[in-house]
Amino acid sequence: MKRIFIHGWKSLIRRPAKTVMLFVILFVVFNLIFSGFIIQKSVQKSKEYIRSQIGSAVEYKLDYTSLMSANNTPGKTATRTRPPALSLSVAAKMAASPYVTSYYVTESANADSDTVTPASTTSSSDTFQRNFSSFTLSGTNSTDNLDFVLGNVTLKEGKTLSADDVNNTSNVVIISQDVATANSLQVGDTIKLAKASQSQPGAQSGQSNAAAKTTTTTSSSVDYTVIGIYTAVKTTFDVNTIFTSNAVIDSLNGTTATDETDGTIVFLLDSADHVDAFKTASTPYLTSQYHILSSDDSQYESLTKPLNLISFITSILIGVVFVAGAMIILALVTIFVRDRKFEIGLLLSSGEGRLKIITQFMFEILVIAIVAFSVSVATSNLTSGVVSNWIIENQLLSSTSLIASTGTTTTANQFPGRGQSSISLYGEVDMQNVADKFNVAVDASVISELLLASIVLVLIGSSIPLIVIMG
Amino acid sequence: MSENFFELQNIEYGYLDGGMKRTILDGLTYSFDKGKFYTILGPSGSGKSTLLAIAAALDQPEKGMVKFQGKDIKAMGYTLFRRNNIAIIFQKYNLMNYLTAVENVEADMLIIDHKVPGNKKDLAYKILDTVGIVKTKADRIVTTLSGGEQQRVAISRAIAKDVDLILGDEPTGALDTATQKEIIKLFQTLAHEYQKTIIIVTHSDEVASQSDIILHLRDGKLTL
Repeated sequence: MKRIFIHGWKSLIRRPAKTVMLFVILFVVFNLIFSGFIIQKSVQKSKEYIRSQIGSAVEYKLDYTSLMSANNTPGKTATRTRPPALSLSVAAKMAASPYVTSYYVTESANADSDTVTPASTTSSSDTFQRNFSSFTLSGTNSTDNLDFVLGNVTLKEGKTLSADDVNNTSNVVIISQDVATANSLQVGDTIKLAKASQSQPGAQSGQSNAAAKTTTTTSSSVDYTVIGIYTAVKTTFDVNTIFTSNAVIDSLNGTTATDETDGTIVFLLDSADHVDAFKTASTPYLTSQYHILSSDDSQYESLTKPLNLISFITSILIGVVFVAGAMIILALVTIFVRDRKFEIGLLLSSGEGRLKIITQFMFEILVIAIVAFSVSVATSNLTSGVVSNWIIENQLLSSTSLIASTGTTTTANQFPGRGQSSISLYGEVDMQNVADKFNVAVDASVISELLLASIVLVLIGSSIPLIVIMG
Repeated sequence: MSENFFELQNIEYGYLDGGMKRTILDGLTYSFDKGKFYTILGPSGSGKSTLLAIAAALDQPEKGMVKFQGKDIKAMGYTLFRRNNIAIIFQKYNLMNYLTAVENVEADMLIIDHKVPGNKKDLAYKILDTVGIVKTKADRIVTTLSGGEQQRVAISRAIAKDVDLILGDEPTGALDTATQKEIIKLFQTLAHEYQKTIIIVTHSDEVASQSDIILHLRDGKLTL
């Protein structure tokens, strides 16, 4: 065995032209492959970041598109398909998934008040979404309202719902700082709310209820105690939203709790990576063809489109260079081995085993490959950095289609029902952060993957001619 | 006289030549003794190199057996037989061209199975010195040596292996007359003083005349 390494080493250093030639070939091939790998890793990291920013919420909801398409089918009878309500028992089955950390059923209602005026908002869509009522009540099936959990709002004073509040249908509410300021309200104060009639415009923003003579609050008002005051984190959040429990909303609407709900049902998963698995496992529980599990894939797909293109191109590059590189190495090794046929013959005639001769040649090639690998890791870091910067400047940050997402709003049943709530489920994606994630450092895991690719390439390229010739 | 040192028994070998079977070795049988210098003479194309290849276990006969010290070399294993029992000297390309003379001599000592006592490099220098290659030349890459010096290095390799059978295929073919004579003298010394069995194939009558036994390869058989 000692002879193999002694002669292998001497062969390398005393035949520098061949050694350098093989080194150059391996260096170029490795550089191209490594640069492609590093860019692939960058793409993967960026996509993971986008996914994590978009979030791990999955909504069990009505597929309005399919429903409207079904109702507008030419030749369809006058009888339109009623939107099937979501099922709480189905939601409970889905929530049993190991991926689900919590789930939220959010009932909603529109309400008006004789004693409280809505805060002024910049968005006219908020008023429209409240069906021209003064306030939107947003419920919860647990002690946390979903908007608090998602970080759309944050508690400023007081407290959120307690388990007792939820279980005992306590008439307690959490109002916004804006509403509190507009009405000089504090924690502990009482406000009156009544179910709004949907066909009647309620008080407009800035207008007191008393001034809006046409306001028709046909239901009787109920007293609610303010237990907390929140501030909106998202600038688009409707500050005339009042948080309470689902049971309070049922009471306001004069309904009793059933298995069906017109509210929203949202599952929060332990990881954005489990979204697809959860959807696959839970889709069989859906009881209507017009129900879906939505995770805002369209946002994700839109944001990752340029990254996928880059990934596709680099995959082709890696594939082509790998195959071409293996063929070049194969040809070069074939020439080098044929060139040493007399040496091989001499060793065989001296009684050296074929396997040992192959081992010597493989040793020589691997030594060169290790040196080429080490240098390539360093230089590919530089070349991939140049390419990455170009991609960031010209693809990620400049693309007008990739504006920062403010998430999608979900609405409850748009058909006549108890009311609507809008909850911003998905996170904002700052493309500068995506660009930052795109610059991947060459760490131990990347190096180990590059090493594996290099070994496979060298083994394929060198062992085939050796075995064929020596065989 | 030592018997059954190296035997060729009923060796047959042929090949197809334009659809016709051409027999090169036809039931060739001969026994070689220890400590003798043999030459095998024959015209070009008579099968001398083929015979040597079979004797050196570089090729296999179609029929027949090669025995070394009474053992069939096929049963022994051809690679093992070559590694531990014989040394081969060719007309050219006897040496690894990227190694020095002393490194070439050391190479075979690294290949053989039995341990070489003492320092291999020192022993290699000693052997080279006995064949007329001084240390300064021994440390040079072999391609910088003359043809005769290279053949001496090749013979040194064979000596370093410390085997009893040395086979040569026209080992003096590429050398001038004076160098030829020096090499032949080395072979004689190895046979008579060191009791090695030397078998070389040649087409040179002059070389053959200096051996102990001249064999003729005729019609696929060896004759005296």
